[in-house]
Amino acid sequence: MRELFKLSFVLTLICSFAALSLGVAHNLTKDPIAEQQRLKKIRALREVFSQYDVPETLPTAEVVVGRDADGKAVKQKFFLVGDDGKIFGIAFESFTKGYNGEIHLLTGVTVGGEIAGVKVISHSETPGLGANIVQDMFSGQFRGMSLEKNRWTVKKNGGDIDQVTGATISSSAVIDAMKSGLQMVSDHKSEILDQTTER
Amino acid sequence: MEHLFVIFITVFLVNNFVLAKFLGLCPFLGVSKSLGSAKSMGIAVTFVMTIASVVTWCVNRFLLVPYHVSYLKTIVFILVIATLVQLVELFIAKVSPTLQRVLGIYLPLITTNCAVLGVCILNVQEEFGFIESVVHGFSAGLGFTLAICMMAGIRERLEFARVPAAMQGFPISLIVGGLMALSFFGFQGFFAH
Amino acid sequence: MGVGSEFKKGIIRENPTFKLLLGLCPTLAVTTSVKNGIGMGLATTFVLLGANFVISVLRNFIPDKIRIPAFIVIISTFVTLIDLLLAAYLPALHEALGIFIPLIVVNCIIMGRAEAFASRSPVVHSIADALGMGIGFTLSLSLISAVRELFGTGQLLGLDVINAFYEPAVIMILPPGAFLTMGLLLGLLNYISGRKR
Repeated sequence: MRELFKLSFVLTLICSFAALSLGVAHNLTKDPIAEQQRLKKIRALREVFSQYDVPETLPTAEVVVGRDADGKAVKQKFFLVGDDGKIFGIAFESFTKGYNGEIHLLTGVTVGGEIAGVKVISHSETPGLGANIVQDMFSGQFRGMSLEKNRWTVKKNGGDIDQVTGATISSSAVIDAMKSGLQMVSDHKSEILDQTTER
Repeated sequence: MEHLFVIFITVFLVNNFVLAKFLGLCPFLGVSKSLGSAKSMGIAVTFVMTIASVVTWCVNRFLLVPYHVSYLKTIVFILVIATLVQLVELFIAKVSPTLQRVLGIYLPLITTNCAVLGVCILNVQEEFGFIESVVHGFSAGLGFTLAICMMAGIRERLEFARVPAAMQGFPISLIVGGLMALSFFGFQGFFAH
Repeated sequence: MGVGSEFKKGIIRENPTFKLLLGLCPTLAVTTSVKNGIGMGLATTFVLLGANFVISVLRNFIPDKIRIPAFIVIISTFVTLIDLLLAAYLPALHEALGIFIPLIVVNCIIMGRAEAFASRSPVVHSIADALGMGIGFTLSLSLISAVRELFGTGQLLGLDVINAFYEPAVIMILPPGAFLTMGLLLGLLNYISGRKR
């Protein structure tokens, strides 16, 4: 009995010290970690809106863009990019099914309905093939395109868009995602611009 | 339902835990000398992975998240897994001595099997719900069992091959693993339209 | 053994990767580039140092019956510490190493050294052992990732080396390449040490 008590006591002591030091470490690193997340987002937005000046804090809007299979409202978060009260761009994240998993995109659209830029945040496409969707040769071509001006499919199917060589599926996934993104922004633009909350 | 099947096939074949994710390598190379021991290890691991998925999911959902101590995830999960393995050992010893004879020596090794801790952390990272976590854990275990049994089958045949001295043991097993990983690579794009 | 030889043994004679065959999961997973390999090696060394130090200091205080759970708590504390530190100050490395940071906990090297050495040796020796093993591990990770990065992308540390005339064999930075590289390197090292005898 005495031994059980001693064993539990030692273990509890060690665990308490562990929890204490981790609690301290957590408090010390909480802010730097949050800052890194924030910087990551701003850096991505600056890459997407490379021709514009993206400020440090951005207003956001959350809009219902549709209903899912169970009838529940699907909400999408939009970042409103602008300065001095004038919004010149809308950015949003989207996930689409690629060849080997999800592709996570950050797309920027100007208020005029043109693509300002797109950044592939993460993907698991094949290196050397589908993974080349991150190259500027592919993702850069979208700049300036819009729903009205361009045919949103790969050149070999009669569209305007250059695909990544040997990676039709990865390329098409990105193209489809951007097309539906443009559609979503154009459908809900007034709602998005009306509803802004300071970040 | 289809969603759960996708999780199963992905983890079992396309992103096999051992051959694509590199989780569970130590037992994969260490316990695959014979098909019998591989099978036993596989069953033990699947069993522990499934229960661990259940328990760690609950601990995360009802303890770590509400009290904002998610940073204690690693330490809590590994302790839960270690305790779970001990309990499973005791349980099997009481309930079925035959099962204990078969699985006995493998159970303590499962605590340091990175696949178990790996699947529990992935359940949280991928934000799986309860059923999804259980399916994920179970499928990962089956994927591990598939890989380790295939490796054991091949290694049993390798006994009769003339392997150069420098390559005997681990080196040739790693090469075999590489060829297996290569063949499983063909499963990529399984769900592309 | 003197402190010096405790340190040196981890580097070649008892190299954790090639001689003791410990810590294979992160070795194969993380060695897609030299930067990641070194990063993981140093992170593991940090945990090794911390764990070996604390366990050695407390070696007479921890009752034998609960030594495994105690070791687990101590090791995972240091793992969580390095996880938080990397997330806060080296986010790119943190993202590259991903799930393998928390998996340092089950890296057999650390538990192995704690059990076999730190729990029964004086503090200075334990630190030397940890440092030696950690550096040995980092060196082997660097070697493997150098081979994989060079033949898989033609680069080393992100800089073009043989790209001018070499078409990279992408397979090298994919899972099959990891297995093949490790198997061939191990076979080569076995051959070399076999010839020495």
